[in-house]
Amino acid sequence: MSTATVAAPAKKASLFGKKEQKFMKDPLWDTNPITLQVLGICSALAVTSTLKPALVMCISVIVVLCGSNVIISLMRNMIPSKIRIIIMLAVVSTLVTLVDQLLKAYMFELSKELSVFVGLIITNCIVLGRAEAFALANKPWPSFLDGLGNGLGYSIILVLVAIGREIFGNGSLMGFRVIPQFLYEIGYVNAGLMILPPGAFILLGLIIWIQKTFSKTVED
Amino acid sequence: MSKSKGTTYTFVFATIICVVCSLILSLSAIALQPLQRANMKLDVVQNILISVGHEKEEVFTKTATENFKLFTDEFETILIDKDNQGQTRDFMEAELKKLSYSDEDLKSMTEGELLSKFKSKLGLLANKAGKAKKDYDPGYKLVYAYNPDKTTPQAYVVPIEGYGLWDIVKGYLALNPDLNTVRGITFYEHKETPGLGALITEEWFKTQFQGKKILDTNGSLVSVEIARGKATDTHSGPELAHYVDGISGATLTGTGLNKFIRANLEIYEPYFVELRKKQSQGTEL
Repeated sequence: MSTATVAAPAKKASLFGKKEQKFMKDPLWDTNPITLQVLGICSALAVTSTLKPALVMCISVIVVLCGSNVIISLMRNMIPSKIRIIIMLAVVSTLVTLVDQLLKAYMFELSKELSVFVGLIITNCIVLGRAEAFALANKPWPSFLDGLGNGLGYSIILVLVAIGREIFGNGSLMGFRVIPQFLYEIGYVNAGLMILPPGAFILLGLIIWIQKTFSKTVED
Repeated sequence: MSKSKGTTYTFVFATIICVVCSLILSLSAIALQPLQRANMKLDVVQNILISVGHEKEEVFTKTATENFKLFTDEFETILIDKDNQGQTRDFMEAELKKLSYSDEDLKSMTEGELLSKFKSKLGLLANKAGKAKKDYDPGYKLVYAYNPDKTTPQAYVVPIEGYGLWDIVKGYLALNPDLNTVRGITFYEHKETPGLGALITEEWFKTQFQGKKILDTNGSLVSVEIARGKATDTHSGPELAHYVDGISGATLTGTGLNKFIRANLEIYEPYFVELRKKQSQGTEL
């Protein structure tokens, strides 16, 4: 699990202006949490074998990321820097467990879908990474936007990988068959590799390659 | 973050955070527990209803009360001990009362809940009675007889549970009155991998079990197994009646299910043998 952090823009902005938009737009592509910050890889492998769990994970991560960023940002002047990581973890896990409890009580069907994800969200390095790199140094509103932006950036990649894996691995999308039957009859076989974690790595690598070709970013 | 506020501050802050977080979580757990319990209870009943062939849509659009009513109207709960003798819940209630469970609590539990509570406390109760757990254990098990028109049961539903890959998978298996043909199967409360092992809850996987046989042609138990890949690739002829297609990438979940479905059926087989005997005496088959 990598906990690489990127330099957070420490600029102060008070309007819903260009800077705020930048907080949200950058992580979608230019500083995408998965492909460029290389955060949250573990969950990107775990839940992308089909599209449905990937979507559920995306929504949960967006909610938790926004929530944790805002809470950490509100407390940023009180948190002693020596124990900041453990405090962040406490906040994040409390938040996630609380949401899980509420879902179990009021939206039981959804909670059954989500049960396996709860642990994955808490240990998702994006949540901790953004709290450390951004929320700790910024006001609540920009932190919220940063959470939203990174959550969406994470979602885009997750959905892309999941679509690829489900189509090539299972021949379906959202559980519906998309590869026509006659192809199977003339000898087409689903790629078993795609539904295993290495399949996700290969797709992720391809996505990073394509993205870097377009954005012309070069690693130092 | 250039604040160095000293060790005392750090300790105080950490303590406050811990206390606040644990307070929030314990309060929410206590406050939401009744709702969560009710949901789980409903989930069990819905699973039993679906296993005998009630449509999922029908069950989920009904309110909780309607579901419970449907269940009590159509199902007969049979509690049997290890000698396959019919039992009532009185014994379990009387025993659990010794462990300071209130009458009200015990009466509100379904047989299933009562039994799982009883089983989890077996060691303690045996200790109190001064017996070894093995001698004390009455070996209770539950069978739900699906009997909507109150004549002869149209299906028998038994709870199945055991390890999948990561954790315990629970479910219900419904058998036709011949106690050989599978009528339906459901899985709930599992922690299998999303997109792989978790696919056991998909309709296509569960409907495959319908019509499969748990007995071979000689009448001995062979259970229903999940094949590796397509069942038709590895098995043929009469064997196919005992195999369903596997899920690629979820072989270990399948192995787990194979083991525990069989183990659960083995527990019930002596009772089923008696039921089959009774049926063949009652009606010429």
